[in-house]
Amino acid sequence: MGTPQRDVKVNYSEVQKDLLIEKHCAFLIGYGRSHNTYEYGATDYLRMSGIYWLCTCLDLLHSLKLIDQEHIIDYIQKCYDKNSGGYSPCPNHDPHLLYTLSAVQLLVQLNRTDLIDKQSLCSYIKQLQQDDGSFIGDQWGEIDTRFSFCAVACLKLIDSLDTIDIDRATNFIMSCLNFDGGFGCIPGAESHAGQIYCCLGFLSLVQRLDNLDLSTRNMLAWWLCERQLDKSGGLNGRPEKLPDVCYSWWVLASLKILGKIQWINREKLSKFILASQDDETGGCSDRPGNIPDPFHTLFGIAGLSLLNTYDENIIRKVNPVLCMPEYIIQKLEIKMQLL
Amino acid sequence: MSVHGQVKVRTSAEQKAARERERAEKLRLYSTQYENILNNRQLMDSFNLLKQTENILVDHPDCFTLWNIRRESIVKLENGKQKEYLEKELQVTQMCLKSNSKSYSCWYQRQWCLKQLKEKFNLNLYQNELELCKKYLEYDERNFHCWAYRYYLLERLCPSSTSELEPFYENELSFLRSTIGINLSNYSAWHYRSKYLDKLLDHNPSHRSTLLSTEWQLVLSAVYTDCSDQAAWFYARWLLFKQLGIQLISEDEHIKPLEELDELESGNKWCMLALCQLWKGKTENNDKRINYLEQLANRIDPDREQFYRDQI
Repeated sequence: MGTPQRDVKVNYSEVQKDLLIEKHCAFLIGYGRSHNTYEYGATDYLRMSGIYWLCTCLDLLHSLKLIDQEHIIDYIQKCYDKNSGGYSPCPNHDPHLLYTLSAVQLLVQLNRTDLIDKQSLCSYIKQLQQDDGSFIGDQWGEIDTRFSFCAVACLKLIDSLDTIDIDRATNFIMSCLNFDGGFGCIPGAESHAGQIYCCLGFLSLVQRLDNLDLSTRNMLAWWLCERQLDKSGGLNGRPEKLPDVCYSWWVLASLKILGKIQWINREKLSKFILASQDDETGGCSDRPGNIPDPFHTLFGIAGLSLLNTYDENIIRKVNPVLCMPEYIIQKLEIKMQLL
Repeated sequence: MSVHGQVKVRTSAEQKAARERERAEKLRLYSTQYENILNNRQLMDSFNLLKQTENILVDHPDCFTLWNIRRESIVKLENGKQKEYLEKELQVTQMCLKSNSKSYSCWYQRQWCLKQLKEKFNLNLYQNELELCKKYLEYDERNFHCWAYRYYLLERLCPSSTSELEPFYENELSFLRSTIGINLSNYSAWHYRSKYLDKLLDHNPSHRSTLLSTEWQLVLSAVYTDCSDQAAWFYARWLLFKQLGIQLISEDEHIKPLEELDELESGNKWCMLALCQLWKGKTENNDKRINYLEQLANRIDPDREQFYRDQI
């Protein structure tokens, strides 16, 4: 028979089966106010993304009105770095492409793109592009395909994609392609569902998915659908790993871009996400029984949205490439390629 | 904001309050130290900054701004001190990796230090670093940060003369083979095999068919040992259809051994699917192929039903 599959045991007769909307909203709002807790305080280095997870999740649950939007806009502006044109995760921290994307996504979502200095933002992103087409995350030179995605996603949201050299940027992404059809963080690095999402998202935003030939796309979609584990129904991010709710997003969104979401068992995945809710405090954790956080709450809810588990009146439709509510993408008339 | 793998333990109100107090104190310390650094970044001297940032980073290696401050501080030092602190930084990063071996910023800091030492001080530590990687991979054989770092090192250690290239690649392939041997399902090792096999094939095109045959034997021994080893099956698909190509697939060398395995391990989805792909385009096997795909879709692996149906 061989080695049994690594998985977690979920007792499906006892777990949460209903979506706990009110509890999730309370959890998310409470999180944003819990400044004196360790979990909140010690994650200041990624705060801007944290706020994006919170707001996007609330928006998907039709509850963005529950938070103080002015306060958030104020915060974003405090994180703007005039010298570089980028945004930091927290006031006084350094700007970085990762948090610049979160800030731009937030400003778009809060309908305040008027606050973006487009020209500075474009030149900030442009100067991070390297000769080989890759992007560094900040002036210190770390390269990662996540940063390529951040660069094009930011530019797409402000309708300025032609700022950068797209041919070269695409060549770099393609140089990260692996034997299994997936992508890693740099050329040579192993495929990982998060990285695959970034690279497919990149190709979708620049409308170059055709760079992947049919056999590669099929290989990749097969690899992605094999991320679903038999017993728990959850998805992992790499072979032989445990399931994790955030991969409901990275893997599902990738399958959606490839037009192959029907290759997994959607009902089983929905159950796994619902079982990962914390029925005491609200929020979702990485897997049933663990501590919930805003990151997994967003990706759980966004996953349920892609799975169409609930009506749009309950969870809004999410855009699979930008992980933002689809109505905003429609309003901005942002086009991307989906197979 | 983002927690992985922490089991929630329901506690009494009293326990909870005590824990909260302890954590609040930890947070107070963290925030005061952090604020102090950020507010005095331009005023404090490098040594002080290096000391203070280290205090926080050992427990919080993801605070990337603090690594930036360390880099700024190090490059400001005069040459002798700079070299000393770059070397010390290797110990600091190692301590930080103990608290989080998956910290992107920490692995990058290490890479940055090695580069500085090489470029500014002509000190090449790449070879020694391979030992560190070995240690980390023994601790977590799938740490993709460590694997990627290892690949980065090897790219820099790659000999420039063509005659040394082949033994270099072969050496790496044999390391990977032994890693695959420890745990037959080490997907990371299979991944890096694909990279080095590609390099070796480019370097030595005349040996192509021998190399691919040897590689196929390795795949066969893996799937005969553990027929559900998905890493080997993903690798097999690549080897058969991307490297060999349909014209070079032979009945005796490739198809027969899998048909025999299918008899031994009846109902194994990986083997059945591989055979369906090999039989495609062969009219004499078409009925069997469709029958297998239907079995897979209906009974053996119904979660991926639509995937198998789309292969028909």
